[in-house]
Amino acid sequence: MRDRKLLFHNDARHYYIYNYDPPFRLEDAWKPVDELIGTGVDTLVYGLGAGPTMFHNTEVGERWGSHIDSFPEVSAWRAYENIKSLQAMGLDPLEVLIDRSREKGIEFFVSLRQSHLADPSIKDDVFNWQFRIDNPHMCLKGRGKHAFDWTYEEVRNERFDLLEETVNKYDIDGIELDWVFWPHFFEDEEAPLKSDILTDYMVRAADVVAKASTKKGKKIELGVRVLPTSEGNRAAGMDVDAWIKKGCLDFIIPTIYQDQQIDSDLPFEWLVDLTKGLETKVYPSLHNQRKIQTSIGTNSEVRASIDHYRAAAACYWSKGADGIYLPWFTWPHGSEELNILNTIGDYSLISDSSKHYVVKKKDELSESYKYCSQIPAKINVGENAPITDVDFYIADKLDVHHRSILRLLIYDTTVHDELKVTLNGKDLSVQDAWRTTVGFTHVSLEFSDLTGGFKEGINRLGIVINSRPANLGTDLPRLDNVEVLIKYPEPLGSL
Amino acid sequence: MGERKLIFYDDARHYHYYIYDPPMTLAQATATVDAVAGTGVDTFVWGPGLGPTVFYESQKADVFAEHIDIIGDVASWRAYENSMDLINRGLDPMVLMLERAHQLGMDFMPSFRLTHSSDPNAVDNAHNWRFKIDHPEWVLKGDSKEDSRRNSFNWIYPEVRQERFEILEEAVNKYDLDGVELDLTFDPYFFESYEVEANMGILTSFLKDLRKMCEHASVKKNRNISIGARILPSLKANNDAGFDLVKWVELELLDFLVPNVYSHIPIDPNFKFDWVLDICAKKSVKVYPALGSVIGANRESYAGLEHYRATAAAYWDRGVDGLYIPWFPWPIESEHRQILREIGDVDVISEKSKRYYVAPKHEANMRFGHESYLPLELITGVKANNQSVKIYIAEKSKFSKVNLIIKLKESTFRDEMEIVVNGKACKFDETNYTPLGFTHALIEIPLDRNSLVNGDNQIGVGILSRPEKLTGTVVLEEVEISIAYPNATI
Repeated sequence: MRDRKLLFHNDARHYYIYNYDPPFRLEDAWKPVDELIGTGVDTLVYGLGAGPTMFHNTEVGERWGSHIDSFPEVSAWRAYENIKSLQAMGLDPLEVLIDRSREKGIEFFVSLRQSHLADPSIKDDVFNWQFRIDNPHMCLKGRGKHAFDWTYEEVRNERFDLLEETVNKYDIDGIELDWVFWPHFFEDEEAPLKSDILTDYMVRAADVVAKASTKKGKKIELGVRVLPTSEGNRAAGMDVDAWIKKGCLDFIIPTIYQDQQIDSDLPFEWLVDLTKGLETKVYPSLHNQRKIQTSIGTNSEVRASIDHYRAAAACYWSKGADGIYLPWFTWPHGSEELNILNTIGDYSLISDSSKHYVVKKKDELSESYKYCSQIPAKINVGENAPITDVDFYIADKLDVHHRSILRLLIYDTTVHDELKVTLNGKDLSVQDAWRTTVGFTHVSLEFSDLTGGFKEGINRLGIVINSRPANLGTDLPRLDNVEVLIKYPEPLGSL
Repeated sequence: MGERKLIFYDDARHYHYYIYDPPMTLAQATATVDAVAGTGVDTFVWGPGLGPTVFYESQKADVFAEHIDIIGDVASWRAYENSMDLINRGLDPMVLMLERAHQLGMDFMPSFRLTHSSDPNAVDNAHNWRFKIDHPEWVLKGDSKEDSRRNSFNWIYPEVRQERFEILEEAVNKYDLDGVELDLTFDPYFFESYEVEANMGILTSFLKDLRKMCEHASVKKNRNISIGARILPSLKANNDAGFDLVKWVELELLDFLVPNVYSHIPIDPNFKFDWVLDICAKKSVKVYPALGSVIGANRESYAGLEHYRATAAAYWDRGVDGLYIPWFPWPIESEHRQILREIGDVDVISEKSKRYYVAPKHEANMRFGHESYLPLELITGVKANNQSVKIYIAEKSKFSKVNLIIKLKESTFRDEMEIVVNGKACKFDETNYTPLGFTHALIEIPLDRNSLVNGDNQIGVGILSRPEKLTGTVVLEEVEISIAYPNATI
C-alpha cells in the first residue's frame, strides 16, 4: 500500500442505500466506490449499517430492521428492501462493495460504531436492536443516556464479536472503531476512572486484528475515531495515549460528530506529537460546512467551497497530518467537489492556489466534548480595556507574489468607535479598511494590502474598542467572524 | 395622483435609520425613497419611527429613545443620533422623506402603530416611551403571563386613545401628507380578551374622529388626505381584536384596507382576502392586499420574479384595487427592481413566465387568520379527488407551456399514486420522479394547458397503496404550477 493520503467515509445510508428505491441494481450498489473513481481518494471507509445493526450478512450481529415488522420511514424501508434484493441475488452487500473497491484500486476500510443512543424502551425504533431492547439495565442514565455502560463485559463482547467476525470473514484492508458517535461509555463522573476498561478492549481488538492479518497473510489496519482534544477523550474514558503506547493503533482520526464546520485549526497536534517516530498515522477529519449569518431561512450552515478546503487541508499538511479524512462530503459530487477530491490529498497541488481561512464558530455540542471555539468573542470597551486575541493558522509560505485580505465581522459597532485592530502585534489601519454595514446589527471590515502582515503558522489577531460615544452602551460589541483570503496570480485563458 | 396601484412600505428602521452611521448625508436621509424611484411604485408608506416613538420633530410624540441616557445597542443609537442630528440641523426627517417622494412622483403616507407591547417597567428599553412608563396602570394584564396582549395599552382609557390621536392630528395638520395608515396588525391587542365584545364601538368612534379631523385638514390644505388601515386576514380575527370592520366599511370611515399579517408572510396567490373585496364591493373603500415575500415553511428564501408575477396576476384577477408590499428584500437589486417595475400593471405580466405557489401554513400567521392548505398529510387509500389543494391561476392566454411541480415527503416511487388536476388524472412515470435527499421527492409533470382554468384549480394527490412493510404517511409539502411563454431570442 502506498501512503494513505485521502480517506473518504461513506456512512452507507444518507448518500447511498436510503436514496434508491428498491430493488437495488448492482449499478446502485457500487455507487460508494464508483463515485470516487478518478479522484485522489485512496481509501473508502464504509460505515457498517447504522451502527447497532448491519446491512451485511452478519451471523453474530443483528441485521437492519430484523426486530420490526414494518417501517414508518421510506428511507429505512428502502435500506431494508435494498439489502434484501441483493441477498435475493445471493450477494452479501459488503462483499459487493469490497470486490468493486478491489477492482477499481481503492482500499477498503469499514467503520464500526461503538455506541448508540437508542432508547431500549422504544422497541419499534428502526435504529434499535434486540440486544439493547433486552438489556435496559446495562444502559447509562446520565448525560449519555441509553448508551451502553461498558463496565459490563456483555456490552464489550457484543461489539467485539462484530469486530472479530468482520476482520476474519471479509477481505478488508482496515477497520475503524468509531468512539466519537455518542461518545458515552460510562457515567460522566466515572469515565476518567474507568479508562482501563477501554484500553484493555483496544488491546484485545489489536490482538484479534493481528491474528486475522496473520491468517490472511495481509496487514489489516486498525484505527479509531477519537475526539479532537486530549481532555475531551480523557473525560469520556478514552486514554488515547495508552492506546498508542500499547501499540494498538495503526491510525487515529480526531473528529467530532454533528458539528460539521470546516476547521483549519482543528487541534490535532497533540496526536502528531504522541505518534512521532511510531508507525501510527494521524488522519484528522476535514468537515464540509461553515456557519454564516442569515437574515432569512433557518439554515445558517452552508457548504464549504474549494478555497475553504484548500485552506484547511493545507493547514493539516503543514501541521503534520499523515493523511486527510473526509467524514462528511457534499453529495452528489459536482465538478467543484471532484476538484476538491482531486487536489487536497497532495499539498503541492494546493500550496500556491487561492485559499479562504475561516475561524470556526462556537458549537455547543462540540464545547461539551471540550472542543472549543474562539468565535464569537466579546470585544472589550474602554481606554485600558484588555485586547481580545484570536489565534489562527495560515499554511501559506507567502514567499511568492500574492494578495491577502483579512475580513472581520463585528456585531454592534459604529464608525464612531475608536476601534483598534492588530495583526501579529502590529496595528492595522481601521480607517483604511473597507467598511460594509451588514444588516443593521453587523459591520464587515476588510483589510487589504497586508503584505508582510501574515506569517506561516499561528497568527494572532487583536481587537479592542478604546472609546465610543458616551450615550452608547458597552456590553454588546462582539467579534463574530474572522476570515483570511489569500489569492495568487492566475493566468487568464484568453480575452 | 391617479389610482393607486403599487404601494411600498418602508419601516424606516431596519433598512434605513438603523443602518447608517450618524450623521446621515441628505442622500442617506432619503435613501429608501430613492431605492424605489423609477419603478412602478406610486405610493410610499413610511413607518416614521418605532410606533410608540418617532424619528421626526414632534410636539406630541417622543423622539425614539429620548427617554434614556445610554442606548444599549448600536442600531438604536444610530436611529436616535440620526433623528436628532437631522432635527438639530433644521431638517425634519418627515419633511425630507415626503418632499423627496413627491419630487419623484410618489404619494407619501406615514403609517402609525396604535399599540406596542413594551413593558412599562423596562425603563431602559429603547423601545419604550415616557407615556407608557408613566402609566403602567393602563396596560393590559392578559389571560396569562405568556399572553401576547400583556403590556399593550388598554383602549378603554380615553387618555390612551387621546395620546395616539394627538400624534395623528399633529402629523395630518403639520405635513403635506397624501394620507395616513393605521397599522392595526402590529400587536393587535386593544382590550382584555373578555372586554372586546363590549368595546367594539371604541375603535369605531376613534375612526369617526379621525375621519372628521382629516376632512377638516383636507379642506384647509386643499388636498385629499386618505385614511387606510392594515387589517387582519379574516373577519373573525378582526372582530376578535375589536375591529368592527363591516361597520367601518359601511360608514366609509376608511379609504383603503390592507389585509395583512405582521410577519414575513409567504407569497401566496391564494391569500384569502376575497371577503374584504366583498364587503367593500359597493363602497368607496379600496382593497390593497399585502403581497408576501418569502418561500417555504421556514422562510427558506425570498420569492423571485416569477413568484411575484404569478401572485400579482392572481390578485389583479381576483379584483384588487392595488398591491401593497409590506416587506421586500433589501438592498433592492436588479431582479427586485424588475418586480417593482412589472407587477403594478397586469398587462405587463400577462404573458410572462410565472410560478404559482401554494403557501405553507405558519403557526404565527394562523393565529391571526392567515390560512393555508399545506402541508397536507395524504391518508393512504384516499383517492386524489378527495385530497386536494386549490391553486389560483390567472392565465388567459392559451400559448403557455405548463408544468405541475409537487414536493412529497416520505414517498417512494413504489407507492401506488395518483395525481389529478381539476378531476382529470395526470400521466407520469419514474422519469418525472426525482428523489430529493433521502426524505423527499419532486414530481414534475407537463400539463395540457387546457387542463387548467382561469381561477381556482384543484390539484389532488392520492396514495392508493404502499409497499407491504412501509407504514408511514406521505406528506404533500409543496405544490407549484410553472407557466412559460415562448420568448423571442437573438
